[in-house]
Amino acid sequence: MVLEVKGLCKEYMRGSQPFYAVDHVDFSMDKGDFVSIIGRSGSGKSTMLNLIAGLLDPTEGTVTISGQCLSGLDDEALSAVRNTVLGYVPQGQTILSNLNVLDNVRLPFYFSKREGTSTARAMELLEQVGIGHLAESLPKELSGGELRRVSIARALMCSHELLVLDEPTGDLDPETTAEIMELLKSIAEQGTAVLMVTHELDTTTYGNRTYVMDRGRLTPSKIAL
Amino acid sequence: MQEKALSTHRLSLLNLQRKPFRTWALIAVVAVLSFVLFGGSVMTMSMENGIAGLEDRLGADIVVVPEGYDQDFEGVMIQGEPLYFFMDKAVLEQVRSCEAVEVASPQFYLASLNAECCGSSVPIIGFEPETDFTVQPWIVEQYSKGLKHGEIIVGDDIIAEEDGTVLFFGKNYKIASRLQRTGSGVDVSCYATMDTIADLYVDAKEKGAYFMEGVTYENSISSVMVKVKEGYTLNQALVQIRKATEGKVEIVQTQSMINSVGGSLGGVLSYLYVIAGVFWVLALILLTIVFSVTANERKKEFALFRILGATRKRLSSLILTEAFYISLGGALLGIGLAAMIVFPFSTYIGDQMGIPYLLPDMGQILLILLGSLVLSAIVGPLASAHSAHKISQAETYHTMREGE
Repeated sequence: MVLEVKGLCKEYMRGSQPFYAVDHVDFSMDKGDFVSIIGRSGSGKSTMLNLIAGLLDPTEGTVTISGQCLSGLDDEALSAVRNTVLGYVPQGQTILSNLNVLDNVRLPFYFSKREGTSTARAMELLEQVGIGHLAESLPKELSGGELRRVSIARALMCSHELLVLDEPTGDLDPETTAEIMELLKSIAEQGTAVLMVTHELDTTTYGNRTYVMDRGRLTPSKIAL
Repeated sequence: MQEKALSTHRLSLLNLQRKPFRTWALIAVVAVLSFVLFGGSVMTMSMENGIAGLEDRLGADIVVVPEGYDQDFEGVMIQGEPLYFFMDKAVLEQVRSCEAVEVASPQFYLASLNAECCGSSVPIIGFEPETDFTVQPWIVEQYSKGLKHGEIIVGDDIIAEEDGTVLFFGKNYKIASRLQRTGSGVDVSCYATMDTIADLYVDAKEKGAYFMEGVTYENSISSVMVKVKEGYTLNQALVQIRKATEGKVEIVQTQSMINSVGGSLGGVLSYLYVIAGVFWVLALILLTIVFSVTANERKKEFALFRILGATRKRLSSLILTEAFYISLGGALLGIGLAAMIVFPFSTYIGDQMGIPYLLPDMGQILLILLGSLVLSAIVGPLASAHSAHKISQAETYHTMREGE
């Protein structure tokens, strides 16, 4: 099992009232799974992704990635999980403008002690996401869709097991959205578990499971797609 | 092709290149600081060295000069002003008659003409080689045969003619030796034996330079340099000299003169220390504000580093390294600029300060350089430490959202 989420909760205070942004969520993913989570803004989707990525501490529950429970890991170990097991594509534009495309993709390689070089793997990923010819370009020279491909390649640079994406097509046109979704589907077919949060119903057709998030609760989708 | 690793250092440099205006503005702030630290320290030490040099060089415990000419004597010794004053030679014997006096050596002051040697008028000081204890100990190249008639000893700033002579009152005088540098008026003075001075005095009169009406060389001297005998206090010597000369002379205590110059130096030094301290604190405050604002602007970027697997330590290290490079760049720039001013223009600075000014030796300069470099280079990391800690300890999810 690549991902196992058990009784995951995140409680916040709104005024003096406590509320659950993520409310006792349970689900799991295996290799090659492509799971979509849909829900309205503020339903807790992004909070849940951040809990899974170890970027937020849960109030209750556990997240286990490739057999490693994130609870109780120190910063060093948690950072290593983010660097080596889990690839996370945050919402919006997250490419570093002072690095070219190739260096943006190579970057995670240098956040853990490693032997060897990074260029060959980065080029392989850029070819895989269809922008190998843009390796030396600067981010400002790329379109929105191309930038999203760079983010995906970067997320896979050191991690092949779980790819987590927050609204990966949020600001893209329908044609580019379709291209990105095809790319994610092919990544899942190669064995990487893909977990995607979206509010675009159409994109869920590319996955093999869809969940709905509503007021922090996660339930399997009953919508016929 | 060898690939370049995206190390902390390289990432820091790339980020600094991305914002050239901000980078250079911050470098300029540190450069001003290091300029003040290095330039100020070199000037401070030069003044201290100058005072120490003058103290050593004067050698005499007491100097007897004509009544009312104590300030002129200071002018000759400290600033090398071409002043002259005379008193009756009988004063020398009166001083020598005092029990508390071990040695009393006369000096005779003249001044060169403007257009001859050295571009401007310089003091020419006659001394008695048999009794002198203030000039000869400082000669760089010892002259074994003794200073001959017609030969001159010059201060370090005196420029010789091509044939190794200096021109005074239409005649060339051979430079026999050169004195060690002091940073004081001694550097622009020339020294000769009383015989040579006698010739100069006559030549001067022939050229129309009447140094003082009614003065005859044979019966006049300008000052008496006095060394107090062991077992006697300075005060005892003063009382005896005053009595022997019937109070018709001015008695200069060299230590008081140096203390007076040193006293005004103390004020200047305190001022320089305060300025350097204020600049350091201001630079620290300014950089802290800038780094804090910048860190807020870059929250999303820092959150991204964490998402990609950077540890808190690595994130702090990235921020501190950037700040260090800015500080180091500013420190080197400021020190370089200060060096381009304090070394080539040291003579001009010394003249403007009006006190003895002697540049530190290489060892002292290296120490000042190291100190200035360290104090300037740590200001950036210190200023960014708070931001680095805050950003690296924050929850990445919130940092990311705040940065959007």
